[in-house]
Amino acid sequence: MFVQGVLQSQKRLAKVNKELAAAQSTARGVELSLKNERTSLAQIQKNSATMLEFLNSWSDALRKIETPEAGELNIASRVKQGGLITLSQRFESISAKNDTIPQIIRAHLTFEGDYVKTLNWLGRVEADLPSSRVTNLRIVRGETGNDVRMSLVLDLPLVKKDILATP
Amino acid sequence: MLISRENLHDLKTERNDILPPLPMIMRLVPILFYLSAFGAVVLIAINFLQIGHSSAQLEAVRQETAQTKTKITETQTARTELEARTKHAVDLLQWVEGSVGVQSLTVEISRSMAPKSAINELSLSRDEKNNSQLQFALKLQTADSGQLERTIEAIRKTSFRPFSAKQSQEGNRISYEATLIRETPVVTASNPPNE
Repeated sequence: MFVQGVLQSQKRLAKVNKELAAAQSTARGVELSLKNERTSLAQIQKNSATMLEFLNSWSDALRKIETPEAGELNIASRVKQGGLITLSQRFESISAKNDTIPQIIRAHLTFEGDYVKTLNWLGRVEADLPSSRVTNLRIVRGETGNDVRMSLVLDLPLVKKDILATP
Repeated sequence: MLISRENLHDLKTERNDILPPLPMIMRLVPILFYLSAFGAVVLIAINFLQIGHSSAQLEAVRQETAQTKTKITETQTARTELEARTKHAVDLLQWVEGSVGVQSLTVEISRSMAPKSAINELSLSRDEKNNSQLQFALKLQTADSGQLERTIEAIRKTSFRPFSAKQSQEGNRISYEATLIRETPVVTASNPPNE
C-alpha cells in the first residue's frame, strides 16, 4: 500500500513536472515571438517615420475639404471672388477605388478673363488647395484683347477622415 | 479469577521444536518494516510538496505566457495599424506627386513668348496611369524662328522635361506636342505644403 502510494505520488509529480517543462518551453517560444514582433514593429516604425511625418504635415491641407459640398462651395466661391466670367461650371462626385481617397470632387470649369487675372486665379487655387489636381487645362485666346478662355478640370480629393493627424 | 503460571504450564503438553529458532538478525524485519513504512509516508509527503510547488510554478508560467501572448497581440495590432497608416501616407504621397501645380509651367511658357508671337492654344492633360506626366500641346502663331526653342527652354527651366516631342509648321503656325515628365520629385515628405 505504501509502495503504491509512493509510486502514484511519483507518477503524479512526474506528470506535473512534464507539464511544467512543456509550459516553460512554450513560454520561451512565446517570449521569443514577442521579441521578434517588437523588433519588427521597431523596424517598421523606423522605416515609416518619414511617411508618417509627411502624412502629419499634409493633414491640415487635406482637412480643408472634408465633404463634397464643402469642395463645391470652396471652388464656386473662388470663381466668384476671382472676378472671372464663368461660362460653365459643373461638379461631379467620383468614387475612387482607393482606401485613402475614397471620393474625388471633379470640377469642370470654363471661364474667360484677363490673362494675368486668370493665371493668378489658378495659381491661388493651387497654392491654397495644395492637394488639388489640375487634370486638364486648356487655354485659348479670348474674345477680346488680353483675354483668355480657360477650360479646367480640377480634382479635389476627399481623404478618409480618420487617417489625418488630429489638429 | 487468577490462575497461577505453574498450573497453566501443567495443561500444556511437552513437544519438540520442529525448526531451530530464527536467527537474531530476523528481529530487524519488523524494525525495517516500520522504518520503510515511515520512509514511504515521508516520501509521499515530499512528493506532494513538490507537486504543489510545481503546480504553482506551472500556473505562474501559464499566466506569464498568457500575458506575453496578450502583448504579442497588442504589438501585432500596433504593427497592423502602423502599416495601414503608412499605406495611407504612400497613397497620399502618390496623389500629391501627381498633383504638382501647372500654373508656374503655364506662366513660364507665356513668358517665353516674344512680342511677335502668340499662343493660340495651350493644353495640358494628365496621364491617367501616370499622373506625374503631362500631355502637352501648344499651338503658336509666330514669325520668330527661335520661338519654339525658347519655349522648350522655358519648360526645361521648370521641373519638367519634354519627351516624345512632335512638331509641325504651316506658315506662321506651329504645333508642338510632347509628354512632359517631371525630372525630380517636387514633393517629398520633408517638403510640406505651403500654408
